[in-house]
Amino acid sequence: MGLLVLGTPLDWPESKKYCDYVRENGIMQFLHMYDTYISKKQDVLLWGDEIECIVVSMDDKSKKARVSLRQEDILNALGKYEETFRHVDFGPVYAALRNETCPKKIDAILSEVAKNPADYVERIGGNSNKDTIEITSSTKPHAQNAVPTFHPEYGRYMLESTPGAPYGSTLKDFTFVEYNMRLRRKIIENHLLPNELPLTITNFFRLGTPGFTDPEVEANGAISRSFFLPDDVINTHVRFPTLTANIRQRRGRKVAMNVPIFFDKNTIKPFHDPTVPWDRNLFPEDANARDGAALDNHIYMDSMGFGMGCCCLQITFQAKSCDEARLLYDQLTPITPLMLALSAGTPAFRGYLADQDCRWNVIAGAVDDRTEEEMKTVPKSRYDSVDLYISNDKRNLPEYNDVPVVINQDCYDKLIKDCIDERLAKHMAHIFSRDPLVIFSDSILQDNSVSNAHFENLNSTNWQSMRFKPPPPGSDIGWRVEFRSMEIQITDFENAAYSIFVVMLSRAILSFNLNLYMPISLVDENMKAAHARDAIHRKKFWFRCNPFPDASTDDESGQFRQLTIDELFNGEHRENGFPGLITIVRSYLYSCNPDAKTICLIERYIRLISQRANGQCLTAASWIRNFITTHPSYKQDSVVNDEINYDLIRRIAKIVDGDYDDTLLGKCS
Amino acid sequence: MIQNEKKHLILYTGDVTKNLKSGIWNASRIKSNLELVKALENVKLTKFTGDGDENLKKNIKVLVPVNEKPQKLDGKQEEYEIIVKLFFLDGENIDIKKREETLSQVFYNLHMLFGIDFVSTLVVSFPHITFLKESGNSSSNEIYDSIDEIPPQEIQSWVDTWKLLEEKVGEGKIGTLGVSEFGVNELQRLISSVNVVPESTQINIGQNCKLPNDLLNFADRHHLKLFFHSDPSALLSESEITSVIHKACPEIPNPARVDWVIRYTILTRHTAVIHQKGYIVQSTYTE
Repeated sequence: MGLLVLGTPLDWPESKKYCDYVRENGIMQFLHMYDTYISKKQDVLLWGDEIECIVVSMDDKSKKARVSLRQEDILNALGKYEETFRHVDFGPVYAALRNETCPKKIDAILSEVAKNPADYVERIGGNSNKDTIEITSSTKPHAQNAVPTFHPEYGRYMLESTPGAPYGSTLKDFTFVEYNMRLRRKIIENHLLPNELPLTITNFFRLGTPGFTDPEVEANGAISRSFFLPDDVINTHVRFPTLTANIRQRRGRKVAMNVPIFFDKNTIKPFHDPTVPWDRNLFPEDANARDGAALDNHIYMDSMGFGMGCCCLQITFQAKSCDEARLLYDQLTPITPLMLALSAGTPAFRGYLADQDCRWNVIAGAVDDRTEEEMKTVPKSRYDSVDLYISNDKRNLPEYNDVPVVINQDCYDKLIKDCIDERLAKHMAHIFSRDPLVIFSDSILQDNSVSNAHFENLNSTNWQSMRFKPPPPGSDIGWRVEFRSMEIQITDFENAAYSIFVVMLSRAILSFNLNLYMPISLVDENMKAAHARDAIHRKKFWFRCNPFPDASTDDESGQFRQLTIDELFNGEHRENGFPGLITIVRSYLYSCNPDAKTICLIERYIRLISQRANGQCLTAASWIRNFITTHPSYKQDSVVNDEINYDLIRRIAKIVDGDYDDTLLGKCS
Repeated sequence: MIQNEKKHLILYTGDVTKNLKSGIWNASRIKSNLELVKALENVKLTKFTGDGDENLKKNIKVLVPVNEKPQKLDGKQEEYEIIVKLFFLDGENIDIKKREETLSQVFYNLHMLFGIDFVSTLVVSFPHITFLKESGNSSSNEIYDSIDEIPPQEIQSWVDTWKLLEEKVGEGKIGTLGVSEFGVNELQRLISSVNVVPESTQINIGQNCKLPNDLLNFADRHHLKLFFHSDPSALLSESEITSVIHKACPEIPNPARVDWVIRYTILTRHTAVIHQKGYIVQSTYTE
């Protein structure tokens, strides 16, 4: 979520008057950043992850799990923790962790550090040498030096955490990632009530069912006007309710997501959802469902929270230049659906089993602000897969941008007039074809040479599968891209594995000069395929026949074909077949040859990705689905009842606590 | 008429990371020289005439890839981490004079081909030793079973070679030194007789990740870094190099053998991107 500013947000009718103003000035701000930073080169690789979690409140007596709405209290406490330990160099902590091999001791160190890092560092004598502190503090801190940071998210039961500074550019830095994530989880745990758990699950399985919040609140709020989600689940910072209301108002109706229900033996067919209050007449929008917004045989969801209340795993990395960022944006775009399929973790919505495994299209629907008229002319929601390749690389052929794209012509003209090349201008004009959703009355007037808020108002509310981020003015941050498609994983081990895999793949793409371009329409098709239930086994994905540089002399050049996730990751087991992304990553890794400890650690992560891809272990979605369908109280009717939900969450919490489950995490070696 | 004149041929594979479809051969930790062999098989070579030291060029032909002329490193050298592994394949007649020549050749070629005058890490691989005995391997009979079997003069040759490398460190041409396949015993012998101690040793234990405790403890005490590698001890056999040379230069009918090989890996320091990776092979044949 973007930076939270104070002030008064405008409601939609008021906002509308300023849309063009914000766009115009946003473009000016972009041009200013572009001109200032286009020659910025030789930046180092820095990267970071964002992990979102859901705080669940467990009631052991009634065997009920609900989402806890204590976000503000928890974040206040976490903020104090950050402040208290801001000056601690965590370096010695990670050094100690790196030298420790016993899992119990590692856990003990993490627990101690989570409670009081200053005491721990002092106890092991890490900060005894004053000289070293001064040296480290004069250089820019990395993730392993800084206290982690915690941020609000849309859902009032959600928290986001990031490393306090980016990870560095060496492969050795990968060894800090999982510890960093575990430390964040432990710090959060320390600020929860004894019956609360921070779970990294993509969504809460019973979100929007009666009494799913702690405290229980009825769903009758005027902001989202949802049948299912009370306004109390929305983060109370004014930005979020305003965003919710403005999307609904701009759209002219409530958002409507319909996810196909998974038909089991006893699911009533056709399925006309009895839990939808069809006859409610509290708000004018209550008629939406009756008028066709809610489809039979589907799980109907009518509020932004069903989407923005999901947890994702996002990776941002800094490129060495604007050109490299544009190249990475393009080359990673075809990877986004593959990682979505491999990270799938969302088999249930609103207490029902779905016939899909991913969150993506639900979030797309949850922030879809298009009017009925625009639905005919604007092909996608502002949250969706990438529409345009943007690199000036000669391998980026015009025919790859083959889906219709709406642009704001004035913005485009202005960009072209100011010497932005056609591809980037088109991308920005596409981003700027949307309306700014939340405008704060007290920050309309901005100095375009020092602020990027108008630009960010649009850039950060276009939630595409990749995001291109120019350097913010007045900072030493470089050109960045964000990889946004992945679902959050249950354990920190998995989240570290997925993050590191994507970063290594990006390095391999650059090292081996790979060409992954394929028409955007095929990437879109892959994105759809990735949602499918058990996509790993049941779907094939378009990919370039030969992504290697020697393809220019090859008749496979420019051809595309469909492969399974197993073939894409583990390779085709035939001569001259595609060797697989894992082989490519390994080849990169072994060429760089980091020290033995680092290699062995990274091998664990690669092994997980490999086993997920070939089905030796399950995606989170399949694992959750299995748990539900084999639960004694499951009645083959697609319903995830309170008891199943409670037991499932208990089981997940156990796995997080170290109860190794090889059906989910694969064989250790 | 001069008979039996020894001629040298230097072959340069070009960048093996930019032609991957035919070359993902290093994605496992099982010993293999396929990356090098395939690169040599697939590359079309042509004679390279660079300027340079006439003395070092005497009797030496340099072959480089037809479509990939060697490129000088762009940017500043300090932006790159340059790792060179030098394989001495002179097992039959170790001669310290020859090794001195080899070192000169290595640095001469690095300079001539890429403009490189400084190697961040040089890892040296001596013949006849492996950390774990290769079983059922045809070359295993050329490998000593234990340090007690190694003739003292061969251990002395490590030390003598090391002195040459130390000179390069002293001249500022090498940052740090490493060894390959050295276990605790070998490391002890070497460390006790040299000034510049190795910074690392690299071993092969297959796909295994469990490093032996004695090595871990030794490494801890001596601040040694431990690495894996997957290079066979005899990196390139006579028949392999002879067939490559025969293909590239049909006018050379005689069998050849390899004197030394270097693998260079040039990493972009701050972005963890491989800039280039390739091999340079020197072979000898009799005319």
